[in-house]
Amino acid sequence: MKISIIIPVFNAEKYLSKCLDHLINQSYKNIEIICINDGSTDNSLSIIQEFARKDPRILIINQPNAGPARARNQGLLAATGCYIMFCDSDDWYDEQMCERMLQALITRKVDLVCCDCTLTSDLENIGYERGESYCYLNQFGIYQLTYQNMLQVHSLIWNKIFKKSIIDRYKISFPDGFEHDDASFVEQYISCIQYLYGLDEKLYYHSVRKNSIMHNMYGNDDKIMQSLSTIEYDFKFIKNNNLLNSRNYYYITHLLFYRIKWVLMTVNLPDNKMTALNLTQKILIDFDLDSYPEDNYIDILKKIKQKDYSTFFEIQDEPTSSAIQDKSTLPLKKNKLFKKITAFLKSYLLWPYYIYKIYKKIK
Amino acid sequence: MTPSITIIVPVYKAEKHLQKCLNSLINQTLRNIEIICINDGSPDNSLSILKQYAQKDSRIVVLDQINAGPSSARNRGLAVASGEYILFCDSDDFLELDTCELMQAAISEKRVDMVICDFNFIKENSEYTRPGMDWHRLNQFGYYRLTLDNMIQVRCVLCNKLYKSSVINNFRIQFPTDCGYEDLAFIGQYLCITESIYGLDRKLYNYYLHSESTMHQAFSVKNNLLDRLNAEQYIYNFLKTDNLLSEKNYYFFIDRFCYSIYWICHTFNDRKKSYETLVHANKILQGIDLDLYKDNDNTLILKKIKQKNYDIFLDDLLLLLNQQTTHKTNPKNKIKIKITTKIIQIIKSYLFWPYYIYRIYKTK
Repeated sequence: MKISIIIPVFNAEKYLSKCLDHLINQSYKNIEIICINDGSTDNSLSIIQEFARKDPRILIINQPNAGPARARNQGLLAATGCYIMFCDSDDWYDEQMCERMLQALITRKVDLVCCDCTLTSDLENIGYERGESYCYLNQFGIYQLTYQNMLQVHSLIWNKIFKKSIIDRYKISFPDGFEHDDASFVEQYISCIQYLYGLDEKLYYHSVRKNSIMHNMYGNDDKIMQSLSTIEYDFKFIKNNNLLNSRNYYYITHLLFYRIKWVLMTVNLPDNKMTALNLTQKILIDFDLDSYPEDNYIDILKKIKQKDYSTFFEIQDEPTSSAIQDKSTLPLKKNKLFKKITAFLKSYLLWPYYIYKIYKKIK
Repeated sequence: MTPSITIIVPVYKAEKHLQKCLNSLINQTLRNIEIICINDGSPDNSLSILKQYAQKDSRIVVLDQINAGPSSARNRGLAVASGEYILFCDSDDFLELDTCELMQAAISEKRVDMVICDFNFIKENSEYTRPGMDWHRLNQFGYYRLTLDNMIQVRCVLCNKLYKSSVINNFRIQFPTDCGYEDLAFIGQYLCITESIYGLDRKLYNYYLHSESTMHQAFSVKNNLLDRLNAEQYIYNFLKTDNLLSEKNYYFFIDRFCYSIYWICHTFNDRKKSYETLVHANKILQGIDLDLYKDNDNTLILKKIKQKNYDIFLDDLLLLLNQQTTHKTNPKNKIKIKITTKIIQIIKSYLFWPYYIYRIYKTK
């Protein structure tokens, strides 16, 4: 039961030794460590080669710089293990991570296991900054995947263990050329499975750096918009694999709804909001929105498909604070009595008018 | 080799624009097409122009007939057509050069039963305005399964759509020759049989707006408006004889029939004419079974009309139409109108209240 661990490496000489060190010292020995050198210009390659000399479980793949998505796809093609895990070159595994993850996967008889992580940093006040709280595990124990809890699964790939058989059967891959490619991988994978397990152990050490991708994203509209391109990839994946059952239908449509809502809130230039909505409309063009009974979110997506963006802007402008009181919450009793008195006075003045109205109705 | 698309062009008094139209057809990027032109007894040079073109291009078939109207001409074209798909083109309009290619690609790749494209409106003179043309623009983009909601939204313009000839032939869909609004009738029949459509977001049909086009004439000559109900009746008869009155098709017909009544009354904007419309609707409804499926709001309205219960309906209708029209007018005026009518009603009631009591006593 071999686990293949895939690590894309790009100019990681500072942290790579620590990462590889923790991998070769895993308590679970039946692993292969696939390092894809993504055209590094520093000493990364020589560090990997040195480790490979000492440990035959390390595989090296070299490619000219093409980005982490393509690197990971290469890793998947080369992997020979039954299970797949990922690691970033500047993070590291707990010594028991492989053992604990595989054990949970097998004993709980699920298709996916997610674990918790510890954040480390040379920066101050990390943990609940934008993006970082996302790293913490939010689902504990066994879950049968409904569309609601699928939406809760975080898009990280390095805290999860995957089954290679499922990846191969459905041809799950990282969409090339976009940010959020890891999110897409997870979204594709969970569309294919029924059960996951949340392992409540902090097995992964994730280091947060100033120039990390999440930090770079906010403020960069192009990268924010790419989160829509990756969801387009998900739609095509579900269609090509004939996976449009009821659960996946509601999952992918609600995912799109939340995604476009997030994009509209996060982009900086107002023009990009229209671009985002047009992109969403294009994603929906070949999609049958009448596959299953509609709900509020799908109703809005139907409007977007017809280029009616008005509702969406209304939603966006709704005040998010629930502290705003409704005007009609006057004390009810006072309201009723007031109404009765006015009706009484009105009738004295307007009774001929009421008779006229009755006459009209009966006629 | 069977042509991929048959383009049917009814021709009547079209010598001014016919060459532009035919040029756009023979120069289509999709070469495997058939162009059937039916000369509907034109008194001008149309027939000789057609024959000229037919000599140069063997894909053009020219049929001649005594003047019988565009429906009869199109029916004849359908009888002769051999293509897999059918496209209609009016003789004063013209296509983009890649229209056939793009629409045929869409209908076969997306595996739908009908493809709809968008229009370019070309005005005779820039001041010409025609109300309601924007409503005909493409409003459905991409793939749609034909649910009741989607069917109702399909705009009933004939020429911007690509149809499957197998569907038309198997169910013998025809244009009604004894009433106007034949495009409404044709598309209504077609939608009831098919399952999916695709909205192609490209402006591929060039619609020429000028005062002499038949559409405009129908619009201004108001006593033809009742033909719209006759067209709906034609659809109902088709559904009934071919055993196609499924729940979806039934509610589709009911919804369209109601909407047609509202639309005609709205266009007349006159109580007497609206009354005549309801009388006509009542006649048609005698032949329609309104209890085929569960009642909804529309069937209840039609039942009232069937029982000659017009007055309440007319009051509601005119109130509804007034609300709709005053919605567009200045809101200040709207409030003024409301207030003045109420004041008048109150004064009236003060003067006539004994009379009203007498009438109420009489009815009770």
